[in-house]
Amino acid sequence: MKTPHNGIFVGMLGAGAMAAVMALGGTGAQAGEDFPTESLAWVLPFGAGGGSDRWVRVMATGAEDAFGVSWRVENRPGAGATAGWQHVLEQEADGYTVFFASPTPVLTLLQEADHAIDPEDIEIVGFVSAFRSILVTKEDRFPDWDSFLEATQEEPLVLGGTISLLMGVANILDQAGAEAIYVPYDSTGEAVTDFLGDHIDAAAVTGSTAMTIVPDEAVAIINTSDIALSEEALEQMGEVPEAEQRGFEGMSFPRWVGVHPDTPQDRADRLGELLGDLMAHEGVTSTLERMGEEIIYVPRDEARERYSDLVARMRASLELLE
Amino acid sequence: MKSVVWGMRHWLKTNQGIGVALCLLSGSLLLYLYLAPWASREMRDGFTLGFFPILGTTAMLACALVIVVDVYRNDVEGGVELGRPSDILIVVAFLAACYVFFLASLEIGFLLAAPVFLFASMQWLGLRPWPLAAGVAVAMSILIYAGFTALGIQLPSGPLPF
Amino acid sequence: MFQPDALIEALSLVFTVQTLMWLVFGVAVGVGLGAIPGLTASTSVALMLPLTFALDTAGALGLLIGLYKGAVFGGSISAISFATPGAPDSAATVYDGYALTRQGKGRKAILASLYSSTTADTLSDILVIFVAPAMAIIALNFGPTERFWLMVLAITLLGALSGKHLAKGMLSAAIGLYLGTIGQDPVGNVSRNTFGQSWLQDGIHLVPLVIGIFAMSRMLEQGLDLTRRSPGVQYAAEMVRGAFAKGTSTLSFREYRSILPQIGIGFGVGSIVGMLPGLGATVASFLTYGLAKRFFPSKRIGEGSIHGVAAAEAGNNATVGPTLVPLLAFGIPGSATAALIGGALILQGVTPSPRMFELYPEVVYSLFAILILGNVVNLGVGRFFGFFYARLGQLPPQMLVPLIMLMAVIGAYAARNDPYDVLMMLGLGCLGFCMRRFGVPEAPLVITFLVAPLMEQNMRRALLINRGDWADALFGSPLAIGLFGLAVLMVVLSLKMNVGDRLASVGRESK
Repeated sequence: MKTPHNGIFVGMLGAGAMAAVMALGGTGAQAGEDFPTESLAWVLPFGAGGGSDRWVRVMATGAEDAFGVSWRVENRPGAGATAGWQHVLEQEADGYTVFFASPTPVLTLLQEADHAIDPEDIEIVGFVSAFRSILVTKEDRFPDWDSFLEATQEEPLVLGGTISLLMGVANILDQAGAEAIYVPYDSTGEAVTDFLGDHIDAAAVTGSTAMTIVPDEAVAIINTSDIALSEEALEQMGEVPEAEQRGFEGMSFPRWVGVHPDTPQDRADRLGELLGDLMAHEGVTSTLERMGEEIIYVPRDEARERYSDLVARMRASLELLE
Repeated sequence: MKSVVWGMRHWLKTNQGIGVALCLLSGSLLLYLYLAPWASREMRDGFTLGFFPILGTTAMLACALVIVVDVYRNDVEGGVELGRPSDILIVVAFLAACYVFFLASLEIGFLLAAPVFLFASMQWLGLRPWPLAAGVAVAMSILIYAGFTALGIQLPSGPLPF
Repeated sequence: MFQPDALIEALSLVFTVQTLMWLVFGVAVGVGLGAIPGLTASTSVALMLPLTFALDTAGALGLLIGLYKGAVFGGSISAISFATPGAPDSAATVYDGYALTRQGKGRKAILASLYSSTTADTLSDILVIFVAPAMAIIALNFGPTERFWLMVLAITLLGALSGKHLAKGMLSAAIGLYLGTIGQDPVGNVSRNTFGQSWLQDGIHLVPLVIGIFAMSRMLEQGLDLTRRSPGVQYAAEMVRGAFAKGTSTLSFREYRSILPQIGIGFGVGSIVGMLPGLGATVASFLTYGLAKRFFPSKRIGEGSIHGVAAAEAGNNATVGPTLVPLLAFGIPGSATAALIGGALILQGVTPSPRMFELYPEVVYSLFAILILGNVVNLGVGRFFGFFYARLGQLPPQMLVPLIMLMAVIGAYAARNDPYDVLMMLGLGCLGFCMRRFGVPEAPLVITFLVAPLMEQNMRRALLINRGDWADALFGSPLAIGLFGLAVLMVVLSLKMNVGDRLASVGRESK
């Protein structure tokens, strides 16, 4: 089980990688706040070198500017990315231990019915990015969403992708009252290869992967997420219908930031504010952009709501895949 | 009586003797898997969750059974022949030393833990004179630490300032 | 299709002092990193990726491709000198390579590895340059069904790797099969076989497995021998001097010519395995090793033969170029390393896609030129490192055993920063030690550990795709039937050649 980003163009930047970030400046910590006063531990449930690792290390380069304190990045992989979560729960709920994750640990928790951690055992601070599940098909077989939907309603078609991306599609197809055969892959790359070789009917891919094969080899028939594609992506791929336009409630997979569930509200709020400042930090944003990453910042209040919604939706979609 | 004991001890060292032990081991593993509640849970493609683990264990059991009965059953493997019961203690000591070194390097840092581990084990294995062993232990630790740091990999640094 | 202007431009980009310097730097660092256990080619590339931010496209490609080639070769150096494969793809090299080192022929083994690596690598690069688009189309024909049969083909080689006592070889394979099922069910994604331990949920990682089974087990064995030796004290100074004073073995041109058949097998197997996503260099090197052992019983592979070293190393290095095929043809990376190289290209503003040949021909040609040049550089840098490491391998064992144990511990940890990986490595080291004592070969374990999960995954995918119809899932295409036929042929051949008996005269895996 991997996040789709692990599959394709994993920008594995190791420790010390972010020396390239030079542009500094931006907002300083506001005066009058007494939190945080010492360095924060950013716990990452993945090993050094993955997509999330790259994110947090780039973000750390702007930490002094935005937070007024430095960060320690702690890689705590293992147990389907829940070992890091467990570690956060074992620390004091003082806001000094921050958890940075993707949907992967949530997925693990949902799959293990008797897990000691509940997906809601976290206080969400904000989202910094997200990926979307885009459904791609061959133009000669299913030129658009309607033809695809009709065909799969008649006889379930075969869809491949990583688990989380398949969940995104399953969520939509379920709302449309249609079924499909979901074939899980370890990486988007493998799924796309089987798709290009006509072994499966359609593939669920990330926005960046879609851009490499659309329009030459495939057509993107629906963006199953609740986030529009970037202008650059639309320019290359042409029009891609959005789930919402078709009357569906889409789902996207965030890179989220959280703290211990018992953390005082004012501290969590403060972290949320600072995170907002950081995601507008010039040095951080320009580096992320150069690396082909997209910042999709969602502030704390909205992120909390969306997180609960996401967990419910993932739970329902997962049942379709089990 | 003495010869019976000797015979037993010899038999335990033969392929047949070890094969029987392996049968018991893999048999109990198989039983454990077979009885585990998760193993019978069915996935959406019809396979149970335990199918492939049980397949592997069954294969182990089958191979162990063949070892008990095949033409080599009375042979004693060279490594087993030379083995002494205290070997197990030494192997465990090595493994424990490695693990203690690992835990120590997380606590007090690689640069303090590694020379101690290297020096102690070189002494144990009989490297003399000791000043040479100490020098090698310290030099190698610094070299490895510096090499990893230069490559951008941070080994556990512990309380030392660098 | 061919654009001469772009070729000239590419050559002018590649043959600059700066690009060549980065290429040499990349290979040198790659060989050094590759030789450290736990640091695989993809980790090495990931570590150095940030450096490319400041480089132009040719320089960036020079650095990364150099690193990749250097690291894949570098893994063999420590496998030969210290029985510690630098990366899993060099595990098969340990058998013959380390045996040669113990005979005092470490340098010969490293040179055999170097020449076979660079020869097979160059051949497969040429293949990529001329037939990349066609190769990509062949690769597309391999769906889950075909990949399943490819795995079955790999399994048929187990007999050859089992040694004299077949039951023990099969026991090793069964253990690998069992260990491979620990973790998650590939279809339901639920934990299985984890004994309720959450740290086993991610399964057993290949790096600690290989370090434990190959390196730790041998060090435990040697350490035990040393503690048993009386009087147990060695005066090291002269031994250290001895290691650096002794004349060393070399590899003659005649010997090089004699390993060409094994290099040929490595080239063929590596090229095919390399361009299929998800298989990787480890599968290629074991497959080549198994094939060489099967078809050249007279070469005494497994007992310290340069032919064994050549097979394993040609097999893994031949995957380097072909791994880039899916990336160049479709923009889809077939391995983690290819993904990183693709990522570096994106940072340079060149997005890999099917239109890459059209849009950025000079980049594609630069890449091709660097692929070939990289082998030449590898040859030079490798000779230097080989010389140095071969002598390190002659240091007194009282010094080496603790050092290698220490490297094994940090290697297992450095790969993922997971403390449990260290425990797992030590446990598997103990298993490997017991297996060695009882004469159970390690190779079948590693093969099934790698291949069986892929086989299961592909078979179940094929079944899902074909809606549960076994006949379609297994024999749905002419290619699948062909591969099935090949597998049957392999089994029949080995029965006919009576390989078991032949191997009996050759003996078990070397100690």
